[in-house]
Formats: sequence, C-alpha cells, structure tokens
Amino acid sequence: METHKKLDLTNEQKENLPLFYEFIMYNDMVDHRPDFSRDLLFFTVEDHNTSFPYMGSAKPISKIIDYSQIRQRLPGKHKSKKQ
Amino acid sequence: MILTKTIKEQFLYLFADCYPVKGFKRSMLYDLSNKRAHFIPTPYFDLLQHCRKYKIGDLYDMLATPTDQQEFKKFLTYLFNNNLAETVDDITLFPPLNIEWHHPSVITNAILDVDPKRKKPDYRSILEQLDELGCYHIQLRCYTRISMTYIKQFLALTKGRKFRSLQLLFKYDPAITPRQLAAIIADYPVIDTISIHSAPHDKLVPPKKKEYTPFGQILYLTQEINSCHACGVINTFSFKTPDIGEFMENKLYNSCLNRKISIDAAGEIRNCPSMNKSYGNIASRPLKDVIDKEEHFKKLWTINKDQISTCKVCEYRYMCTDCRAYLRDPSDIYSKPAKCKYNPYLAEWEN
Repeated sequence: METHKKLDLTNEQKENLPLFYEFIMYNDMVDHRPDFSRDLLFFTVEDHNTSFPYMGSAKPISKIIDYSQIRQRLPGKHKSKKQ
Repeated sequence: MILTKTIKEQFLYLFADCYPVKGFKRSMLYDLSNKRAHFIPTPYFDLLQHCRKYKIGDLYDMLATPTDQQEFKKFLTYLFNNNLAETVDDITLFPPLNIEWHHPSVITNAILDVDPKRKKPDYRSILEQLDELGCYHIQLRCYTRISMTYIKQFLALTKGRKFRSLQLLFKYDPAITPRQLAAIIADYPVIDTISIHSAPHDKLVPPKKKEYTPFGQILYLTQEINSCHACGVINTFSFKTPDIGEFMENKLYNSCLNRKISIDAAGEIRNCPSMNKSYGNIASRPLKDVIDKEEHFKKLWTINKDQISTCKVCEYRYMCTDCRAYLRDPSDIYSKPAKCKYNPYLAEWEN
C-alpha cells in the first residue's frame, strides 16, 4: 500500500515552497554538483551560527534602467514582451 | 467540457495561491506559486467572488443566456487545464490565504548614490548601520565614471556583513575591462549585477557557468543615466509576477518604498534619491534615528496601489513596483506614477 505521494512539482513551485523544502532538499541536490562551491552560494554569520544564501532582490531596487529599450536592442533571444 | 450532475453539486475551488485582481477593462488571475499571470474578462472576476458561496451548478444557472453558459464552461476548462482551480465537495475545508506580510528586517533594501568628485562618505559606518537594520539588498549607483579603486574599497567594506545581494551601476569607462569586472565578481559572490550605463553597445554578459554562483552578470547599456531623474521607469519589463510573499507586500505596502532607505550623492537621507524630502545628512544623523523618529518617512511605506488613483483599477497593480517620486500630479502623493504609460480604462499602453 502506498503510504506517501511524491509531488510532481515544477521548478517554479520548488522555488516558492516553504523554507524546509528549499533549503534542505533543494540545496541538498545542489551540493552534489561536482563544481559546487558552498562559499559562492552561502555566507556564514557566526552570530547566528548559520549560513544564509546569497539571493537577489525579488523586486527592482530602483527602476533607473529601462529594460524595454535593452531588450529591443539585444540580439537574438530577448523578444519583446507581450503586454 | 460536460458539466455532470456531480460537478454541478460541487464548488469551484480557486486555489488559495491563485488570486484574482480586478481591473477596469480586464482583470488578471495571479498564479503566485507558479509566478504566472492570466488575463481574464472582468465579469469572470465578479463570478469568482461568488464561487465560495454558490455551487458550480448554481453559478451556471445564474447565467442569462446559453452563450454565457457555454463561455462559462470554457472558462472552467481553462482554469482546470492551467492548474488554477479544482472542484471540491466542501469549500470550507479550503480557506483563503490570510492577507498579511511580515519581515524580520527593519530595512530590506537600500540605494546609495555616489559622486566620486565629492568627499567620500563614511561607507564603513553606513554599511554597518544597514547591516544592523537587517538590510538584504544594496544598490550602488554612480552617474559618472568611477575608479576600480573606489569600487574595490567599497566592496571590501561589505565583507563579513549579512547582505544578500549587491548591485553596482556606473558609467562606462574603457579603462575598466571585462576581465577586471569578472575578477571582482569572483572575489565578491554577493554581487548580483554590474550594470554599466552610457556604453557604446548593449550587451549582457551572463555569469560563468563553470562556477555555480546564483548571480554575477554584467550588463552593458547604451542608455545614458545622468542623474536620479532617470529613475521611475514603469513598463511591462519592470513587472514581475510575484510569489506569495512579494504579492502580500505589494498588496499591503508601497511596492517601491516599503522598507527602503537611500542616501543620495550629497549624503542626504531620503526614502529614495529622487524624493524631495531629506531627513538629514548621513554625516550627522544615524539611519535608525530617521526610521525611529520620522513618522513621514515610514508613512510613505504604507501607500499601497489600492490607494493610488488610476492604479487602483489597474490589473497590474500588485506586480507593479510603483513610483512615488515622479507623479502625474506632484502635489498629490496618491497620484499615478508620471512615467507609467498604461491606461487601465482602455487596457492599452500609450505609444
């Protein structure tokens, strides 16, 4: 009898799942990459006795760069966005 | 889709992380976990408001014409196919999300404007203060050329701090080579992006794949950025479909200014460098003092999109990052951002 169900999750869902999933399971997988360097992904704060991941801001810190102009000028893969 | 008797007796459960946002001409369904947004006709927004009260069959019977009923079935199919909704017997077992947002940091992001010709501010003290306030993200902006020595001295002061990302923006200087930029990215994994404005060409240099870093890209821009007045650009490229946390923050607080602090090139402390009001100079006033004592400073954090004229009927309003510095009516802090060209009444972008 099946006692648990494995969730079929997209990468986007994995990124937004609660901390325990992202930081235990996701990073566990990353750790097995042969080129993985922990120092490049995390910084350690001794006061907190733990490590934190480097991560970008979820929203633009400022809107000084007009990305619509850049996307139009960059060659190839950056197509104009549907509005 | 065939509406069987069983389905008609069930409720339509729009998943809790799928949030409908009403616009004037059209509405949007934000799929927060998948970070996708779907345009929906505004009448369906109104219909979704009733789906917790009425069963699918009741909703179906309320529709006036066979054409409406046919369209309703198509809409249900769309929701199910896109994993936005499910049918359930007891809707009360699936409560909606609480609309709330909390963050452990007093300040989450900061902008530091730099003018290398002026006396260098005490960056050690500034970064220490930002660190104590729990600041995650810093953007250092310079409208002129800046030396690698200046940049490296600044970066050296970020070491040992709890910052999670750092963005650098400065003017193109042929003396600064891509190799030098790659070297500082390698030395400082906290660097998110180095953007170089007024460059001869637009070019994106992605992070090196052989080193698994979360970021570290270099972006050359032909856009000329001569002052903070270039800020406040709002278009679809400044939008990002939010996740649950970002959505809650955007819904409840100002999506640009909330928990932001800035120091302009003259050392003046502001909500953002483009805002007129200064709360004193960093040389004489600690950042925490401004946050603790200046009521107006934090009041701007609470101006959400539901309070802003025109924006409050815009379907993009919880993915837009707003601007309170450049306004259509500068005398009205609740007026629409001046640089937004979207008209939600027509669902059209100007020009």
